[in-house]
Amino acid sequence: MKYLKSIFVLLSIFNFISCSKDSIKPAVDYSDVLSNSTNQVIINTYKDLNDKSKLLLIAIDQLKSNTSTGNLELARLAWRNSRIPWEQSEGFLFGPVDQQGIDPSIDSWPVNVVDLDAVMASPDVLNKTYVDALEGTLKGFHTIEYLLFGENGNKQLAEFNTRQFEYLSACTQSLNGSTQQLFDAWRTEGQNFGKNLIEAGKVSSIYPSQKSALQELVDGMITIADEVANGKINDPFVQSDILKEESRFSANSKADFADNIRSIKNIYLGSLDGSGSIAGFYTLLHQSKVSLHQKIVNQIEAAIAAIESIPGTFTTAITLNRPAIQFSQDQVRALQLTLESELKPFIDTF
Amino acid sequence: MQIIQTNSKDLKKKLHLSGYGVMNLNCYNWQLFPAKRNDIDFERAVLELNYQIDDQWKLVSELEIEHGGTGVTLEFDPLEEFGEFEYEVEKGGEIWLEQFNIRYHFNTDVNISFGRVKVPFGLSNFFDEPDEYRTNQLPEMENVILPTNWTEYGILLNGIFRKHLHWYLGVVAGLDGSAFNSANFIKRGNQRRFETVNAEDIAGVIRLDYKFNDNNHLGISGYFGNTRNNRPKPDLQQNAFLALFEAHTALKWNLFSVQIISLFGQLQNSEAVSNANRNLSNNLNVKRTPVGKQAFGASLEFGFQVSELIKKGMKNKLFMFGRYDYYDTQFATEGSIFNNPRWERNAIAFGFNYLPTHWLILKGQYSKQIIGIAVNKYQETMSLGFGFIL
Repeated sequence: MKYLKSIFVLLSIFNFISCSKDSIKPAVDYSDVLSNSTNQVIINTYKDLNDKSKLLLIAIDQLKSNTSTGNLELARLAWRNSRIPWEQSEGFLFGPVDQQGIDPSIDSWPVNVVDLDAVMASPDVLNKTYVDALEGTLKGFHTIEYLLFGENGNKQLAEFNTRQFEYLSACTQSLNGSTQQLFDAWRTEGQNFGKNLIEAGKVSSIYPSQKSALQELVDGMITIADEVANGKINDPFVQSDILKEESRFSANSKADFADNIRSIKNIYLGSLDGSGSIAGFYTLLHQSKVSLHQKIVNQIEAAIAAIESIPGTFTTAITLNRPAIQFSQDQVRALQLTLESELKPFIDTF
Repeated sequence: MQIIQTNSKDLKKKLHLSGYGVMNLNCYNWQLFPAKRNDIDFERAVLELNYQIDDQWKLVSELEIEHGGTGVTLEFDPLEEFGEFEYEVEKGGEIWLEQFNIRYHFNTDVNISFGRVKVPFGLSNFFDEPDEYRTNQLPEMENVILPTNWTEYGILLNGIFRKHLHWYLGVVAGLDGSAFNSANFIKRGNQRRFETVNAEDIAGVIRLDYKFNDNNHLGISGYFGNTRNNRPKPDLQQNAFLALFEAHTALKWNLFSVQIISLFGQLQNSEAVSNANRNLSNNLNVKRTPVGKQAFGASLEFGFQVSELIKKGMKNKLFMFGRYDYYDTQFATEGSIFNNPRWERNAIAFGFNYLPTHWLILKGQYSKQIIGIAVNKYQETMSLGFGFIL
């Protein structure tokens, strides 16, 4: 009897501890993190992309109507500027950009020069509807880049002809259509895909829990880190083949890579200004895993710095500055490893 | 050929197992894609298992193992999307129950089959075992435009009229237009991507073959059906009826053999189909390239049995052959769809078939494809391989 009583008391205490443990643990709400990722980072980035691609169209039409070296340089600058928000969006290539098949129309690489020549040689009228109907490798950023900068990046004004200007304009209008579609798909006034992240866990969202929405975000960061380290840098570097280098015509590759890492930074900090002054992904670590938080921040900055300090262009560095490329690749890989092996498992415990 | 050995006389009589397979080594010299690597392709191994339940009923099945494996293959397609990697996931990996149907035999003149049936269209669907075509790969033009070994769920009636006229009449599940593309017209519309096959649209197919005797026949076939409602999502507002026609002949005369086919296809509202396909999810893993309004193709294969010249009645057979294919999967396009000249292709091939025994066939060929662009248009391929027929 005595034993039975002791067992009963022990069981009661045990039960109390386990129950109280459950009841003490508050239901954690991550909606501010998800809301900032969506509104401050994703939607603002797509808005910026849409605005910049409109400015690109203005610059190209200006070049078309008044062909001058100055206008050519302005168009090239506008291309570079519109490239920034696109590359900064590659850390979240999920949702409409994927589901509505938008990204191949924006960023197919490499350029399909064979078919492009055939289009130029055809008698077809080149307008937005026509370019819209073409396959991805004949339009988007890199086709525009190829026509603006030329195969070796030094295209002269004399090498432009009327048909190329028509194609450039139609192609940029088509790009505008895609960036508008993407922006509209996310924003509240449009199809409001952003609601799915913000309201994750509610019946109104496609994400069954906030955890699954956070996993989507962290997977997006890992994907782009992998893409930069093991695709964009690795392929031209290991094969010593500049033809594999994306954004080669404009010598914009380093900027592309750095902006890709900034897309990770923006999602991680929950804002575009780099301050981390509002709730962001980092908040999840900031309170409980300070050392991991600091590690991620340091690795992001190290990766960006390493990419930007590669001497010359990425094209020239493939032959002349291989250790610098190797170093930047190592930095991105280190970041990828941390995201994969430390951040993701941590989120999985939520 | 029956290879099952059993003590059960009854089972032996009813069960019929056969099979065939093809393996090739290909060496490439392609101007447009100089980096294309030589490869070895275990194209397919097929097991056919038929069970004659009684005088009337029969179970027909064909299990195909493609590329010697199972699961998911990663494909690199240099020509369609200029270097996109592509996951090819086929239902149940790449082991594929190609045919599975029940056949009821009314009398010598009429049969009915239902289940997964072979679509009675084209020439190569009827001459698909390695000793029934001369080339290393399946006949090029048909294999580019039509689904490989085309089977669908449906009901098929077939029979013989007045001894020589062989007829087929079928109703089968329609194609899925979301997978149509520039390079292959309607080929990839053969639904294999999902666990179930959408059957909102059905198609009718008819075939007539006049057989002078076992070796000589000529015939026609037609296929007609909508391709709109079997799409994964209801994302196309217009109908997209597809009509396919072909005329063919296969003749053998003394030491010579000839096979000729010409094929024409037309797709309604092909511009609307292309536009709908353009916005399909990346996850759907379809090409999303604009589909032609019309496709046209023709091929001619000429074979000659050399071994009979060396020694009459020789057991080891040697054939030489020559072949010509012309096809354009964008023979015509609609509206603002760019008619890409790259999809017009001419191809010549010649080579040999050597059969040391009746169940083994060694093949070798040289082929040259000329694609419809101004420069870098030649694609040469050397192939060596063998097939077995059990």
